Order: sequence, then structure tokens, then C-alpha cells
Amino acid sequence: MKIGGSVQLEYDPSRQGVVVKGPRTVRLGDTTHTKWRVQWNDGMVQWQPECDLCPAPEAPPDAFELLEEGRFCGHRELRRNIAFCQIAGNVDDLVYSMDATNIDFLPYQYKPVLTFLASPSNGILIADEVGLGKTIEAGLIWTELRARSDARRLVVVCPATLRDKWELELEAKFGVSTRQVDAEGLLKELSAPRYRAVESQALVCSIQGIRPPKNYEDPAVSSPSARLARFLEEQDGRGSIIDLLVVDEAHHLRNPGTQSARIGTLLRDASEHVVLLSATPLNNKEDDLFHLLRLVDPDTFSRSDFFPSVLAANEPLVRARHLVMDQKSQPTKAKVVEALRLARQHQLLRGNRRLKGIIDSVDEESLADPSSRVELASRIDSTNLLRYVFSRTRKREVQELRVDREALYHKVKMPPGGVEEEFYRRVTTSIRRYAIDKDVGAGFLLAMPQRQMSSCMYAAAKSWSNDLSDDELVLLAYETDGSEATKPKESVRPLMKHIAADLRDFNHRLLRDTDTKFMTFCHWLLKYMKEYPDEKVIVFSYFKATLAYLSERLAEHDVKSQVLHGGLAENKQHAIDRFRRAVATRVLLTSEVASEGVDLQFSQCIVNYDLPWNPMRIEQRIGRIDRIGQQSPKVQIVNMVYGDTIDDRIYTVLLNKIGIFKRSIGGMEPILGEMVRDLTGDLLRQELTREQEEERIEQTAIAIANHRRHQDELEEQAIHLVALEDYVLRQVKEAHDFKRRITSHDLKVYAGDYLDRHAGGSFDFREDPREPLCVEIALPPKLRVGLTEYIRNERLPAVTSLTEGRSRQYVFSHKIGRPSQRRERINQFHPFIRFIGSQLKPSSGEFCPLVALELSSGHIGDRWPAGDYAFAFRRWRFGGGRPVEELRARSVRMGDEDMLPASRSWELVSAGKQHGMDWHSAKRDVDRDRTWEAIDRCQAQLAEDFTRTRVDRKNGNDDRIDLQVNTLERRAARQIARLREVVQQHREHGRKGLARANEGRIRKIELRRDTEVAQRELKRKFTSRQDELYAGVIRVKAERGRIA
Amino acid sequence: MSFSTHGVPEAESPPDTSRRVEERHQLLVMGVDIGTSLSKVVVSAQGRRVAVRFDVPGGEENPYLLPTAVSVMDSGDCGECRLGLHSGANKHYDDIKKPLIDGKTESVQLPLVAFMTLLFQRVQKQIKESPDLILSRHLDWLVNLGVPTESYGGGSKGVKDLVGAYRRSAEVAWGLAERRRAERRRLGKVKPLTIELCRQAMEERNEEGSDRIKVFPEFVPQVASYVQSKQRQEGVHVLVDAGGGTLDVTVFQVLPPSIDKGWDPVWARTVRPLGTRYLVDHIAEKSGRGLALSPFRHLPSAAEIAQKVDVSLEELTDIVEPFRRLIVLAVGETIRKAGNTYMALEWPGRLFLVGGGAFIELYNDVAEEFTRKDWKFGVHRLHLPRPDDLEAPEINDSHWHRLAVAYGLSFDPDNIHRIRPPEDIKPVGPGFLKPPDIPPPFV
Repeated sequence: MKIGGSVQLEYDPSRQGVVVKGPRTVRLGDTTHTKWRVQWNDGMVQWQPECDLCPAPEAPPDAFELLEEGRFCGHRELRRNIAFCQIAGNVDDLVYSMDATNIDFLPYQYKPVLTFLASPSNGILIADEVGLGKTIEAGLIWTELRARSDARRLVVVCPATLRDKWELELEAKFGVSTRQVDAEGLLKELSAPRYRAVESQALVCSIQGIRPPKNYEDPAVSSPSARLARFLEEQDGRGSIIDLLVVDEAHHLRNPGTQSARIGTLLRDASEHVVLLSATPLNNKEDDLFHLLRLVDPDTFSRSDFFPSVLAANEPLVRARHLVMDQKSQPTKAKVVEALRLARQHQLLRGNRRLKGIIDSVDEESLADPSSRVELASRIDSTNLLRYVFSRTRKREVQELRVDREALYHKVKMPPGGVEEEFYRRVTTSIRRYAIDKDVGAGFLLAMPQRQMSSCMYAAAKSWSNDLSDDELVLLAYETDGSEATKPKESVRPLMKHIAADLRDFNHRLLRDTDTKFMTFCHWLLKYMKEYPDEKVIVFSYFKATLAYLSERLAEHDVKSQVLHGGLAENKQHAIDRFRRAVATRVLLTSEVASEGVDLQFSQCIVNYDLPWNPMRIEQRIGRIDRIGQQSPKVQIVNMVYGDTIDDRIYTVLLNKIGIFKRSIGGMEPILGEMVRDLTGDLLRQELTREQEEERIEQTAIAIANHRRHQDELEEQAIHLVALEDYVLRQVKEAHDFKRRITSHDLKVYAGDYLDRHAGGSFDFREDPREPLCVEIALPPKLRVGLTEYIRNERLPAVTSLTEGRSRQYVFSHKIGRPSQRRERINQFHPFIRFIGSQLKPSSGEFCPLVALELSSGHIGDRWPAGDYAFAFRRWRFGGGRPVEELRARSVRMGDEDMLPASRSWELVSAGKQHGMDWHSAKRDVDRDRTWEAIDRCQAQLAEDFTRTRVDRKNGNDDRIDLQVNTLERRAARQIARLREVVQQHREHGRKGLARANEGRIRKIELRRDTEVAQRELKRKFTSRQDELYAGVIRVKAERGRIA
Repeated sequence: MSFSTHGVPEAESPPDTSRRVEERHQLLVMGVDIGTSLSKVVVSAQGRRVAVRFDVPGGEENPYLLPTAVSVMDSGDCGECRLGLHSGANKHYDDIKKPLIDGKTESVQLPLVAFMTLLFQRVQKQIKESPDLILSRHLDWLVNLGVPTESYGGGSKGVKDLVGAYRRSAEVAWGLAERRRAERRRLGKVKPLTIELCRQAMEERNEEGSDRIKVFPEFVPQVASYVQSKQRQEGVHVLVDAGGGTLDVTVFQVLPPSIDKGWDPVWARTVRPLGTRYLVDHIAEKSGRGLALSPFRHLPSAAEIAQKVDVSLEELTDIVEPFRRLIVLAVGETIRKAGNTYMALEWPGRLFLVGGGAFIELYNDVAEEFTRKDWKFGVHRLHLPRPDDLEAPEINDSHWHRLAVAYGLSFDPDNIHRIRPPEDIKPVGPGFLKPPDIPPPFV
């Protein structure tokens, strides 16, 4: 020991310093102690007895050296450094978005996230069924991108009716403030440099609003959407200006001939990442899925004939996967290898290195162990690089959505010979006569008045005499059978005039007085409200006039209701919130369009006051309450139908047969709409007997059943492209259960620890005893300056009070919800957390790689018998095309033969990090020889795991680069081919200037292609590294604190 | 970990030689805060600072408190002495500290020795029985004692005598405890401690003194408990300690860490008999009613006190108003003195209110008053941050400051000595100060 020497504390090797003064001696009886003055790394200067000091080694000691000396660090060390690796790193199996948002944890919603992260093509089609939260899944992907990279610009394209919903969900659940923009606004934003994008702000626009005109390429066309399209075209070849593009209801863009598809393509080409959302990817045509995938990855799916080839190549892979996963039989190596070799014969997989690696490594041992089989199946899956572009979950697969549907059918009997029966008969006859006289085949024309009448006779009669506007007619058409909300080619007005004329002598006031349907409904409603005094009821009708009528009639019975339909001034979400909060108002009268995109699952009962004939419309209605978040185990669906009418027969024969009131019918739109329109036309155009009507309806029911069967077959095919469900879900669940995510406590430890060690001892960091995550913080001047500089250099838009210097309260929270006015929230995106990550390096001098902890079995579960567990923990880093880190652990219970699997080892280390306590007597109690041996085994196993993973990753990297290079070349070829055509055209028209300009663009594209291919080739260079982070021993104690 | 409250140490178990233990000497520091009513001890070992549990019956709220008292069990002064208060005792010596402060040392010297002897024995035994603290067979102890003085003894005779009395008592007590330990090891048992034995030990006292016992003015380790913590902030601080006996106001400054000038000055200091016991006495006197309260428990609320002494809340406010004014005066004077003398000091400072009085509205109101004052020596009120290396799991963060003095005393004496009392500071000009050239002597 001497002045200037580096020292560390015997009992805390991570505390290091330099001797600056001394020695001083102290005499105690016969013993003399010596003291030295030490300046520690954290800035404090203290006298320390020599017996507590030892020279700091020149090279940092490894775990074995420390073990020999019996020098252990405690849980604080472990926690600090794992937190650093997780927060500052880019850990592959850490889901940064998990539990970070204001949503409940539902494992299936993270499937697309994991799939997306592994995707080499930077895009994904999420095709979950309606009501499963595709919006949430897109939000999670954005959160993940923000955590892992400097992603700032999010653009969401959706139908106009869904903009409000996106705004609400992004803000409330993901802390992303949103701006709705039109084409002009979007153009302005995208023209600004990317770094100016406000990090937590998204741009939401409607597809209708940005759709360019057909002649947008003409510079004389100056509409904002045209200018936007031209701007995006100019960006082609210049790199991405959007970090993530989300397209909702993407199936509207799949037809390449439309302008919607064109703007969608331009936006996609300008984006780094793409997420498409569509509930209806599979329809009656085989290539519908292909068209959607082409939107995700146009270069891989550039040719429609390529798709069947992909499916053919995957077929033996899928077979091999099934063989491995088949619980009922024991697969043999020979059979599995045979299937894999067959797959490899296909031209698409011939060069796949990863597949070759799998073939070489399959053995009987791994096929005998269930967890190894799952892993092998996943590895087989991973060879299909195309499977990363598609994620689909169906309602029936979601455990959390096991909501039963209970249907109640009110067959409203019109009194025989009564006013209603007469009205119905006369109107139906009138419609049929018109159809025959005018030779009108269009089903929707005939259906509309029929639908009005089925909804509410009084309201229908009233509207015919008052004459509906075009917009109202359009809306009605959309409501009833889902026709595109565009002006119909033929007007239904003449028909209505015809009916009105036929009913000239009819006193429609009588319909009000004898409204059997309303009386039946009201009777049921009053009874329900009495039986369920706290419940609210949602009443659907596709006819605005019916809604108004019901509101008026219910008021006469002292039932307060709120009406919601299109065209109201109030924002519909606000209207819904108002309804939800109002205690006295228990009935919502709504059209289906008005409630599109709105969640009503706070109610467990809907009433179909009228029934659209298109089952998809009914499904949409039910889906408003039968969705994630529905607390009741069952939802009630009350159907009001006039008995002995076409509606009645459609209900009984068609709707019941397809079982729509029992379970979701999935995405069968738009084929159902087509079928039902045909059916409607037939039923109304012809004078059919009741039996003939039933027979005709039966035919449609059978056609629907056939379609469904066909759809199931398509689903089977789609499985080729869907990731192995079990494995991905298991990964998600493990990530959640084993805390492979950042917690609020981690953030607090991370920040507090950094200040302890690097703030020079002069800072404020005081917990509020009532709220441990609420901390009063004041940074010392040096750090304040550093942080300010960092924010400026990184151009972070966030403002933080930490740069001000005054002591203030902050709350550590991994949630990324709305910012609080009261206290600044520090989450993983906060500038201070990022700043710390930029400052910290795994400084080996401060590392203490040997840890001893005690852990109560209550914290880790019954599966862990009491005893001493040795463990080793490493960080793996892999370079190449997609740099990733992994944190891996291996452990063994002392005295046991078998090592614990990696996942369980991580569980142990994670529990130690969360709940472990310092094992103070470890120095004396730990059997060093046995521990040495056990740690050695763990290290050896980790080394073996690393080698295997390294080979697999390298192969995956090569395969990925191959795919990306091919993609780049194909894309360039496509762009060049298109431009060559343009050049040709310009030359033919004598436009030499334009021809030259486009030739210039071709050269640029070629240059860019060559550059990007060269860049990708550089990434083929694969690097790998493993850092030994920790080793140690954890004593698991039985619940009472004693080792059993 | 349990131990007897009888004060008779149990037989030691033979050392466990079957385990591998370090042969190096282990140095532990015992920080002893002898309070007027209650004493506390914090021991530092292996970088940990552990509050010693006494688990006194009736003191469950805070098991780290020990009545500063010795009970004599049998008849006469030769009865067995036991630590703390015991029912059935013949005599209680429970007012040990106050006579010392008043200069009546002789009347309490022997009980003090007895108290310290038993205390040292108990603490040593308890620590030895903590396997996770002890890694060596050879334990060397430093004992730091807090003394109710303003200085280390360089001032008045009274202070010198007081400091001397403490030091002597501690040295005698330690020697006595060591001899009794050796006797127990040799014979398997030891005679009960009596006042007479203490007297004999006093007479036999080796005048040479040792490095083991260090004595510090109580406010010094109190300040050190903050300065040594990671939560310290640089700048001016006002520490108001409303203890049982006295109200101590200390204005000090935390300077940036420095290799050469490793010290932090106390600029001004005031001690007044305005602690909680004096408040209780004042209320009792003015209301004409007795007020019997447990030393373990915090004073009840104003409303409860009013009820106990049978006055209205308004009347109670009037009763305590003169007392309150005195407190305000004491605090204000001290702040002004520091600020006017050392004009380079930067305000606002931070104000901590600690001690038993921190739970009493009266003292809190005074503290708040100073934060609202519109004057050049403004202060922000903060809670004294709990050091994260203090192991006292049974005490919550808002009560930890009752252990602050003992915690501060558990540091190496040279580290405590960073805190320099006003007498050590020699200003070289208005607002400037000069650090002492030589390390001041320990008392």
C-alpha cells in the first residue's frame, strides 16, 4: 500500500480508488492498525483501515480469482449490470414494449412484434380477425422500434372513419401524441428533415384524403394529393423518410389499378418499415393473400407465379415441422431429415445454409426431449424467411376471448289482418311489380325500401313521403349490405316514389299506434333494465329514421337514450364516453357505421332492432361488444324480426345455419355481400312461394358453407407462412414471466446507481417513502451540462427539468402513457436514461464478476428445491446484417448431475436480480472447490451453446443477406424497367429533356443499387463475441429462511 | 438474534475451528450515542452499518432504543447491575446524562461506568453472534462516543471536565468489560457487575489512555451522518435537532470533495434547553397538571396533550407560545450569526428537522416558518435522507434520524473529524476562512 496506488475494498471489489494520503496508525491494545486516505471513483475521499483494503489488480480479476479469495459482490451489482445490459443494449429476446404501455398483457398481441423483429424484410402483414386489437399490435411494434433505434416518424394511413380511433389509442395506450393531417399537411411534414420529426408524435391521414388523381404526374396538376404523390416519387431511390408506415384496412389497396394502391405503394417505398393491417386477407381467390403480401414486400412477391412456388418449397418444411411437433408419435431422425432434404432440393432453398446446418445437427437425442423438439421445430421454421411477413390470430385461438354468445330471437307477430301486415304486403308487392315492370335486376335497389320497412314501418312510410337525400340513400346502402359508400349508379328514388304512390291512401300514422315491433322491444327492454340495473344496452339500426323514432318513443316510456349516427357534430368517441359516464342514460341507439371503430365492450347486450341481411354487417355489430376487454363471460344478442317475412326466413334459414349468433364467422367479406345481394335480388324480383323462398335461401346457406370450407383450406395454406404459434407464444409468455423486460424498478436502479458512481457524490436522489418509484432528483452541475449537451447533439425534442438544477420529484415508470402534468415521468425513452446509456461502458474496472445471493423459495416457486445453485451469465453479441445481443445463463444445483436448461437458468438469475439478498456469510459458507467446479461446468455449457448459436446465426445472416441482395436487385430491375418504358414514351413524343432526366434517374438507381448491394455484402461479415458478465452462487432457502 | 435483557452475558460458545476463517484482524467501529433518555448504537463492520437491537419491552415501535439507565437489583449498592430499566429493581439510575451536563459528575460517574460496561458487553456479544458480520477471530474495536458539548474540550473547564468524565468512564468500562469477558472464557462464568466493582475499576484505571476511545461533540457525528452519505448536497445546511433535553441548531457547509482540504465547517451553533422534555415540563408547569409520557413513544398530538392536561386547544397554544418564541429565536439567531459572519455563504440553504421533536407540531411549525420567511438567509426544508448503508429494517425512513448520531459515530474517527466545529475555524477576513493547518487533536 502506498500513496498513488490503486486499491479496492476487500468486501466490495467494485469500489475502487487511489491512495492519496497516509499512513496513520492507531494503537488498540497490542495491535496496531494502519489507515490510508483514499479517493474513491465516485469522488468521495475517506480514511480507510488497511485491513479493509487490498491492491486493485491491474487486470480485472475473473470470477475464479475472486472465488479463490472468497470475495463476492451482492445483488446490487447483479441488478445494476443486468439493468445496464437491458436498458442500454439491443437485447434480442427482450421485448422492450412488454408491459411498457397502458394495455393489459395479452400474449397473442406480442406475436406480431416478435415476428416483426425477426423479419429481414422490414415489413409485416398483420391479419388478425376483427376485434383482436390490430391497432394495439401496430402500436407495440412502434414502441419496440423507438426503444431499439432512433425511430421518430410514424405515419398511419387508414379509412377516414378510423382516424379518431387511431388518435385515441395511440395517445392513451402508447403515449404518442397524434396529429391528423391531410395531403397538404403530410407533404409539409415529410418535406422537413427527419430529425425535426417530433419523436412521440404520429401523423394520421385518411386514404381518401391523400389519394392522388389519375393525372398526378402532370406538373400542372396542383392539388395537394398530386403534389404529395410527385414528392414521394422523387424520393424513390433516395432513402427512407418514414420510419414506420402503418396501413389500416390494407385490403383496400390491394388492387394495383387503383389510385389508393398507387399512393400506398409510394408511401411504402419511402418507408423503412411497413405494417399492414387487414382482417380479411383470405378471400375466395387464391392470390388475394399474395396481393396483400406484395404490399408488404413488393420485390419478393413481385410475381404472382412466384407465390405458389414459395408454398411448394415450404410444403416439406411444414411436413418436417409437423413431424417434429407431433405429440402422438416419436419422429425418427431419418424421416425428419428426409423431409428437410426434400425441401432443400427446391431452388428457393437449395442454398439455404441454415437449413443445411439443421440437417447436420438433427439427432435422435434432440428428438426424444420435448423442449428440444420445440426448439428444433422453431429452427426449421426460421429457415423459411418468408414466414416473417405474416401474422394471423383468429378469435377462436385466443384464450382471453372465450366469450359466449347468447341469442334471443323476438319473432314479432304482426296481428293477422292488421295494419302492419297490410302495409308489409302492399309494399312488397309494389316493389316486385316495379322490378318486373322496369326490368330492374339490381338487388340493392329493391332491397333498400324492403330494408327500411323491415326496420320500422312507420319511419319507412314517413321517409318515403318526405324523400331521402342522396347522401342518406348512400349511407343506407352501406349500412344494409356494406356496399362501398359511393353514390349508387342508379337512384332508388323512382322506386320510392312508386311505392309512395301505391300507398297514397294509407294512413301511416296508424303504424305508429300499432307498432308491434316497438311494443315487443320496449317490453323486453324494460324487463332487462329492471333485471340488470347497472347494464347499458346498445341498440343497432341501419336506418337513421328508425333511431330517431326509437328515441322519441322510448322517451315516452321514461327511458333516456342517446342517439349516435353519422353526420353528428360531436366526435363519436366523445359521444361514447359521454354515454358511458351518464348514469341515467342506459340505451345507445346507433347505426353500425357510426359505431365503426369504436369499442363498446362496456356493454354486454346488443339489440338488432333490424337485421342486415349480410352476415358480415351483423358480425361487425356483434364485434363491437364481443371483443377483447369484454368482462362478461357471455354477451346477449337480441334480434327483433317481423315473423313470417323474408327477414324471418333469412334469419331462420341462413343466419342460424351459419351460426353467426354462436361464434364469430371470421373474415368472409366481401363474398358474403355478393351472395346476399344476389339472394336479395332473387327474393324480391320474383314472386316466390314461401317454400321457394326457403329453398333459395338454403342454396345461399350451402354456398356460404362451401365458401367457408374453401377458406379453411386457404387458412391451411397460410399456415405455411405463419410462424409456429406455440413457439412464438411460448417466447412471449417466457418474456413476460421471466421478466425479460424493463421494469420501473430497473430504471430507478439504473439511474440511481449511475449517480452513485459517477456523479461525484453530490446529487439529490431521495425516494418518497410512500411511493418508492417517486424520487426527488437534482443533478450536479457537471451532469446537468452533460445532459443538456447530449439532448442538443442528439436533437432530442424532449424537454426535461433535470437540466434545471432544482430538486424536483420524478416518477420512474416503464409505462409510456400520456405525460403527467404533476411529475415528469422517466421511462426508457427519457433523455436522461439515454444519456446514461451513452456514458456507460462496461468498464471492467468497476465490474465485480462474482456474486453470492440468497433467495427465498417464495420468490421463485415450488419448482426450485432449496440448495445452492451455481450459475454463469454471459452476454452474446452478434454482428452482421442485424446486430443483436442476447443475455444467456446456465446453472446447476450443487450435487446434481444435470445442468438446468437455459430458460430455467435465466429464471433463476432474474429472480436473483429482482428479489435476491446479499449473502453476507458467503465468504465463509461457500464451498469453494465445489462451486469452482460447478461454475466451470456452467461456463463450459455456455461456451457450447454459444458455438451452436453462432453457427446458426451466421447461417441465418448469410441467408438473410442473400435474400436482401436479391430483393435489392429485383427492386432496381423493376424500377429501371418502368423508367425505361417512360424514357421510351418520352422519346416517342419528342420530349428529349424529360427522356434525359429519366435516364439520369436510371443511372442513379443503378448507382444506388450497387452501393446498397455492396453495403449488404459488407454486412455478410459476421462477428460474434461473448462477454462473461457474472458467475456466482445463489442459495435458495425454503420459505422459513432455512435450507431444508 | 435474541439476547437476554438481564445484563448477564451467557456463556460463549467455543470458537468454530472447523470452518475456514480469516486470520487477519478485523476492525469494527462502535458508534455510541448516549441520549438523555435513550441510547443508540450502530456498529460498522465489513462496510455495513448495523443498528444494534435492544428489543426493550414496551419499545416495540423502535427496537433500537435503550433507556439510558441502570437498575440495581438486590438491596444496597452492591446489588447486581442490569442494563436499562427493570421492574423489581431496588434502585434505578435513569438520569445519568443530565447531571453530567450540569457538572455534577461525581454523582453519576459510577452508574455511567456500569451502564457503559454492560452496554459494551451486550453489543460485543450480539455482534459476535452475527456470523455474517464477523469474519475473523481477532476483532479490534474502536469506540466513538458522542458527548453533549460544543467542542472537543479546548474551551471552558466545564466542557473539559465533561469530556474527561465521558472518556474516563468509557475507558474504565471497556477495560472492565474486557476483563469480565476474559474471566468468563477462563472460568465459564463471571460474577454479576456491581457498583462496587465499577468503583474498584475506576481506582485501578490505567492513566495512559488508548486510541480506542474517541469522543466527539454530539453534533459533529450528526452532521457527519449527512456529509458521509451519498445523498449529501453541497452548500449551506441548517440542522435543527429537537432532542429530549436540548434544542441544537447547527449551521454547516458541505464543500466539494478534496484531497487536500478534506473538511466541512460548522459555521454556527446554538444549544438551548428547549428539547421535548423541557416542553413537557413547561406544559405541566403552566397547566398545573402532570404529564407522564413514555420515552419510547413520540409525544402525542397537541389535541391529545390538551386533553391530558385538561385545557382547550387555544389555551394550550397560548401556553406553548413563549416556548415557541424561544425556539424561533434560537434558530434565527444561529442562522443570522452564520450568515452575517461569513458573507460568502450562498443562500438559500437546506433545513433539516430531526430528533423526537420532528414529530411534534410545534417544532415543525417553527421549521416551516423559516421556509416561508422572506429574508436573505432563506432555507428549503428537506427530510434528512436515510443512508442506504444503514441496516435498521425495523425503522422506517421518517424515523431513522433518531439513529443519526450513532450512525455518524460508526465511521472512522478521522472521517468524522472532517466536521470542524466553529472554534476550529479561523476566519482571515470578512467572509473568508482559513482551514486549520494542523489536524486538531482528538479528545
